Amino acid sequence: MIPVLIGILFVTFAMTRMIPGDACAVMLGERYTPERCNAFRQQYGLNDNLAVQFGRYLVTIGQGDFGNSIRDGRPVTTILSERLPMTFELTVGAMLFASTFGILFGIISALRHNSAVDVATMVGANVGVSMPVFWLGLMLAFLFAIVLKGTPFWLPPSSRLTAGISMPALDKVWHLQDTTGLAHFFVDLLSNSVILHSLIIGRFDITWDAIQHLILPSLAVGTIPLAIIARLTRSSLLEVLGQDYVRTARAKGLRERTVLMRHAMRNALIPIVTIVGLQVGSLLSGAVLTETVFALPGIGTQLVTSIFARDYPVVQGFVVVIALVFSSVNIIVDLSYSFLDPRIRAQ
Amino acid sequence: MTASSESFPTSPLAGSAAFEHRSPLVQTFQRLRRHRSFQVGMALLLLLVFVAVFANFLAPYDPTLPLDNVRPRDAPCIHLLGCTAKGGDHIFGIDGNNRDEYSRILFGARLSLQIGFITTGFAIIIGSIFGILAGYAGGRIDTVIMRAMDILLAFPSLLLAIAIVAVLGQGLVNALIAIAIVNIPIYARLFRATVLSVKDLEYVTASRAVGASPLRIMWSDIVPNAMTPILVQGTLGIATTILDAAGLSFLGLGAQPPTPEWGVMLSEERNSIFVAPYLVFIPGIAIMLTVLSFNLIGDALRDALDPRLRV
Repeated sequence: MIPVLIGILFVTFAMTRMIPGDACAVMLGERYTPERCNAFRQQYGLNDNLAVQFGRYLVTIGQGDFGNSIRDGRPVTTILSERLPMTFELTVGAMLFASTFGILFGIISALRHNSAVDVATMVGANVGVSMPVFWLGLMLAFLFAIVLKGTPFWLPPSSRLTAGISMPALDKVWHLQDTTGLAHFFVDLLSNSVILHSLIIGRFDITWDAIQHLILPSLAVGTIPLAIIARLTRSSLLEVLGQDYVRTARAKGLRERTVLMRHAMRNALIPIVTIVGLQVGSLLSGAVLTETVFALPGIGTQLVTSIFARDYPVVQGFVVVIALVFSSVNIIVDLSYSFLDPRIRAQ
Repeated sequence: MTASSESFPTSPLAGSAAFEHRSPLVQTFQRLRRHRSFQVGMALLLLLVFVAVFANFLAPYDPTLPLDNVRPRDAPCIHLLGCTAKGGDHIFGIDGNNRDEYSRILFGARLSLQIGFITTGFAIIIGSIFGILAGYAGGRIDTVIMRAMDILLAFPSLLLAIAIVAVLGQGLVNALIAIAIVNIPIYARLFRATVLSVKDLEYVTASRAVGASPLRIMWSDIVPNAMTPILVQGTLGIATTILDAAGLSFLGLGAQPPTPEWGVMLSEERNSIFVAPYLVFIPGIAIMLTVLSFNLIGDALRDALDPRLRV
């Protein structure tokens, strides 16, 4: 983990040093003057040698300091605390959708092997993995916001909350305006997570509104992972259902449900958990594309805006955080094997 | 029945004596031809290749130039089906910049296939160099190369591509370089695994004993062994590449207007979905069918080439 962590930081550090041309001129853009450039180089230590710069970068990141945005001067951590919760909610929503229905369709397909349901699920899965996530988002917006307008199935096609709804920031509710550092960062994260925030202050009407706004983006982001999970669940379960111990379990007279859930599924779960974990990368990538479609204030929309504005500290900070989240999930997946399979624990 | 076929389970196709005597390549091709996914995928791909090659002749208008006597986002007009508007047919309508959507879709097929093949080809070539070098040299070189690959894999692929585009600047070529870089580790790992699995086998040792150079051993003895997994992964990789390139273009980081690229077309017209939905439906369906064709062929190749599935 540590070498990969340093590698991630090295790649993101190298990124800004590899900008073609004078990094200072590129970052300052229209604001460029030789005097400003000198001050900029002094401020960011760009005149030191690269090893010193990388060492300093590691230390500042270790202290939770991702620098300030060039565009508006705000700390990158503040921007992160505003944007991360949206993407987190979207990723979790999509993950819940993808894993619940993916595993369900996979089980049905495996149990009704070669039936019409199986064929339909597998054709659907093939089409699902071939769809561009941003296009699916647009299609869902069209279907639920236009075609189904006036029916109970109507869903909002954009933004995080219905216009006009707002909530007091949690640091004001809890009188924590004076806190700084990590505590303040977490309070900000909670404040900006609309679902958690509304639950904490007991405004369930806002929670419901937020969930309604999250459904379409979650369906869009979750569809490709759903298709992949369904295919793998089917093949994994089919393999396990052909094993001798499943036949033994059936021969003992166990109910089919017990055979499936206790004997077959438990063993089929390891590849499924792996693939669900691996989908986090796909979900994060999907979230970036989908936020643009649904005008959601997450890391994706911010990342694209920052790239266009050449706001490299923000891009750098966001990429580091995303890579860390992605790597951490992969490690959690590895660790979960021993929980699922006592044989791995014994080793 | 021969002794060998009595002792091993045989594939349904192995019943015919003619099949058993054919070369593995012919057997694989026969297996592929019977595979439903391959049939559908290949039919789609041949159609796309036909459209891409003959786009100049099939497209009635220039894909980048605005037309006269049309209005932005005019609905599809086919005179044979009762359209009474003046002027020529516009099968898929007119886009927001007065261009014929059908012509743009046809030229988009050419661009998408080029993107898929060139980017994946580039990733395979660079990946093979790193993979073979790591596997063959071993030791520190192996460690350094593979750790670098692990680090690249620690980023979600599209986000790393976005980060690379942020450094290189927006544009189709930079987006393709970014996507190729992101895909290199996949092929490097595949080649390395193949090298490790064959480099100590007798026939490689024999080549070395008769004085073959390392380059010759790699080219004649090792690379052919990697072809099967690369063919499968490469085909599926083209599908992912096309999706990623369309995604980057959709975000404004890849191909730029007025290039007739499907992702750009979707991006330009995404706000008109409520007034001219066909301008959003059609490029999306085009991307989906292209990606689907490579996914279906890739799945069929995996089934046909995987020896474990034959018994």
